[in-house]
Amino acid sequence: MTDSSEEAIKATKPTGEDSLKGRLRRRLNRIQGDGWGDVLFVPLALLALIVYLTFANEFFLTSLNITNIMLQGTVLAIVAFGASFVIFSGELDLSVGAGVALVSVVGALVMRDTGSLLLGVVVCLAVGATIGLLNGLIVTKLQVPSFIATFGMLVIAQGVALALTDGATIAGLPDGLGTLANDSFLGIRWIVWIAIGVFATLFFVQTQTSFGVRVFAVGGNREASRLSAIPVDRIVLLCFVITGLAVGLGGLVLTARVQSGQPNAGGLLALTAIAAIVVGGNNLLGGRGSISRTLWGVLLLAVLENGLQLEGVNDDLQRVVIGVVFIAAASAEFFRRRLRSRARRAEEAKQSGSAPPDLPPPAQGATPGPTGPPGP
Amino acid sequence: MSTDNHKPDSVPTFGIEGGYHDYIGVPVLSDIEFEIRGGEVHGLLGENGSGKSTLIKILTGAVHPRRGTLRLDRESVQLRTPKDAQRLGVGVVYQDYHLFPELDVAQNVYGVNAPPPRRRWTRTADRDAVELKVEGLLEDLGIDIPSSRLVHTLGPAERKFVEIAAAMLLRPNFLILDEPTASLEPAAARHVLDLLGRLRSQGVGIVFVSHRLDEVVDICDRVTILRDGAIEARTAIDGTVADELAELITGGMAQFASTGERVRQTDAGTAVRVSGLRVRPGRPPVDFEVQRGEIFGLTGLLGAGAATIVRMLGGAERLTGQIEVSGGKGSIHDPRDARKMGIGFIPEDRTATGLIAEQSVALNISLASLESISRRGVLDRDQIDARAEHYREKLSIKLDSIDHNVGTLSGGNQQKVMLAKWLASGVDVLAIEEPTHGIDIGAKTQVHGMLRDYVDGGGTVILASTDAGEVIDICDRIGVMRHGELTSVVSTDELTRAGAAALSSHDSEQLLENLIKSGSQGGARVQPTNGV
Repeated sequence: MTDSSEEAIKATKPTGEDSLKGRLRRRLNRIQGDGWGDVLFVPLALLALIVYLTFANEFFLTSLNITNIMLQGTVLAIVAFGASFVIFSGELDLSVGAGVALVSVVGALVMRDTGSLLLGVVVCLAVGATIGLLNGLIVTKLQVPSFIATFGMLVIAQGVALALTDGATIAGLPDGLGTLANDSFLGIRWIVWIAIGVFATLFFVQTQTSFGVRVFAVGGNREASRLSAIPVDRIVLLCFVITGLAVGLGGLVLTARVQSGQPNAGGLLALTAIAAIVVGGNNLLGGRGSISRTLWGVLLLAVLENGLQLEGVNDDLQRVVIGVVFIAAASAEFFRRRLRSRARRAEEAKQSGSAPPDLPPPAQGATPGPTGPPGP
Repeated sequence: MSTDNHKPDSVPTFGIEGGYHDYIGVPVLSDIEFEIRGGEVHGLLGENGSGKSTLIKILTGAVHPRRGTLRLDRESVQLRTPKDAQRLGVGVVYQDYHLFPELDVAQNVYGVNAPPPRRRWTRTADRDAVELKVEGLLEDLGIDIPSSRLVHTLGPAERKFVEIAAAMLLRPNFLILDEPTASLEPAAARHVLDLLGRLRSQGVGIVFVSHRLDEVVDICDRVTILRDGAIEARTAIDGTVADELAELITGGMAQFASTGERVRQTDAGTAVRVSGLRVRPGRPPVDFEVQRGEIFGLTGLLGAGAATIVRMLGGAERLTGQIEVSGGKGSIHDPRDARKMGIGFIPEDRTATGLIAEQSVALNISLASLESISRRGVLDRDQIDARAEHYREKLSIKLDSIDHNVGTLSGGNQQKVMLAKWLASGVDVLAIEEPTHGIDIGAKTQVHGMLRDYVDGGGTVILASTDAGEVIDICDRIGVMRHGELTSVVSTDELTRAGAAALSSHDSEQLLENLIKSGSQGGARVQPTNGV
């Protein structure tokens, strides 16, 4: 049966709800559904941190330092934006750090030997996408849990990157790459523009495409998605490929920023990216979140790291702080959930309390039977 | 037993006075007076959704009634948790099995209910003592199962025995059993009834929930009948015959006979033809046809294969055999294949497999039809909202906002959302597993009406239901499954007419239950029909 009410649905659209006001109200409703505290928590924490650092360190709010924060944050941002999709879909990608290192090495080798920036960019993206595709295929076709699959890929990518270079960095790259890192457009460096572009693209994909909706469906309930005829495997595979492409761009940006191929660049990047995603307030188990939350998480971590550096905290202790923030963020998710269910219970209590206690329950369709006043 | 008002004080009693409960404002129980006495079997009857389970949960401390007083031996008591009920001597056996298949009988009986005895010096669990104790218990109950048998090697009746034994471990004075015979064959059910009889003679007060009237007549001393959350009748069993009981339970059953004249387009053509479908290896293949504009119901005992067929049609399980939809042949390996053939599937378990609980109502409704509201993958988000508002009104889904998570809705409204999801996708056939499982009566009637509207608009419904009353209520034809085999197909009209003529005017449900239980025996009066 084709539901002939399709026209009726279209006809109902322009009545009031389509006005700017209606749309805005709907938008606010949606945010309210998450709870204001939930939405504003990370931005407010970031603001507090910025205010504190502004007073604590006179160097913090200088344009040089702000540029510095942005440059340091770009690789993390690009990788975290991509990896968000894997997390939304209920999977995990531990290989992004090692992937960035491998991309950086292979891209640098190609650029050094051919002298072509364009070819280097293409190779970076191709290597990243291939890693993502392999991850995705292993997870969907071989049914290997993504934790294992991407951990294996982490070790492999790391091994290949080191084998290709004997652990040394690769220098002698074309000049064009320097332009990418050092030149600005509208006062913002090109590599930061790349991160902004990735964010904008993925934000569009998340909010405006049917793929975006399906990613959250798959992450929220895989079996229900399957039974709704959603191509679950293809969605998961695509999420890994998106992450892989982001890894490709991240590797390129890294190579441009340090002007060399870096086989040891991976380090804690994968975990920091996941940390940023969770700190931003996304559900680590998938199904709920937003790329804009990842942005807040990345900004918070970047500012925090910068602040620690300015305050002269040494590298090792910085890691300790980042680790503590990660755990705190993950437990914040737990407390948020508690808060939500408590709010729901309060709501329920309010509803049941609002029924006049001495009157019989309203005889709705559900109870046509003889219902006398309850109680003695 | 005695129905006398005068009771000696020594007989223990347990019950509730003035019980009232609602779920999010929807009353499910009102004005409930219910009492069990030691040494009697008290039948609790009523259709699905009449409030039986809620009453049981209240008596076992799993649900707190909004109003009402629980009384144990006339004293008011509070049950804050199921543990409290256990401590006060109220045991319960739930309808589904709650056993650990890889553990043995002794561990299952003892394990969850009491800390095991400890060895004197090492303080480790003394398995010998556990076994001795459980063997003693089994002997007292007259259950002949070795305590060292692993539970997964036991048959369904033996498993029920193990559950009853586990509930009896702490020697409760009262035992509540929720449909202990529901998934059992008649012979196995007989053994369970015998066991209940022995418990009664040991002075245990028993609440017995069942849909099988013959069992109720057989074993119960008194019955309480619930309807729409209120007590419809209370009666002692002697002198009450099954027919009268059936009338009390179903109440409006007579109306089925009158509304039995269903308009059906016999020339509408075949919508679905299934052949050579195998539910279980070694069983005969299943063949059937369903006409366009028809609601075809498959029914049978739990596990007889009705649900499996519907799941295969929907692609939830791989379909074995041939299928034609509107003349087009194809194979169904997964739900996407089914969707391509124009079949939408609605599973029984709403929150686990039917809906994305943490996503909004609007998204859930559009989930199966995103292609039609997007162009090259880019969504028209306003359409999602417009569509949701449309179905909210059309199916009268009760909610504050279509942006709220679907997990916050009541069961009936969730069921409507699942329905809306497939209506929006424009599929020709709906395969539905237990269309109204666990939703209140009002919503149930509404869902039935929606299915009728859907087939009147040219759709086709194939459903599986273990609720005989429901099947008679909404289906045009009924296929009865037994051990993975389609034993008979009857039209509801014939069933109603045959029921009216052969038995009493209210007994088509009984007739159908006979069909379910015994295959051909009850169907002797009703000729299997081919097609319509």
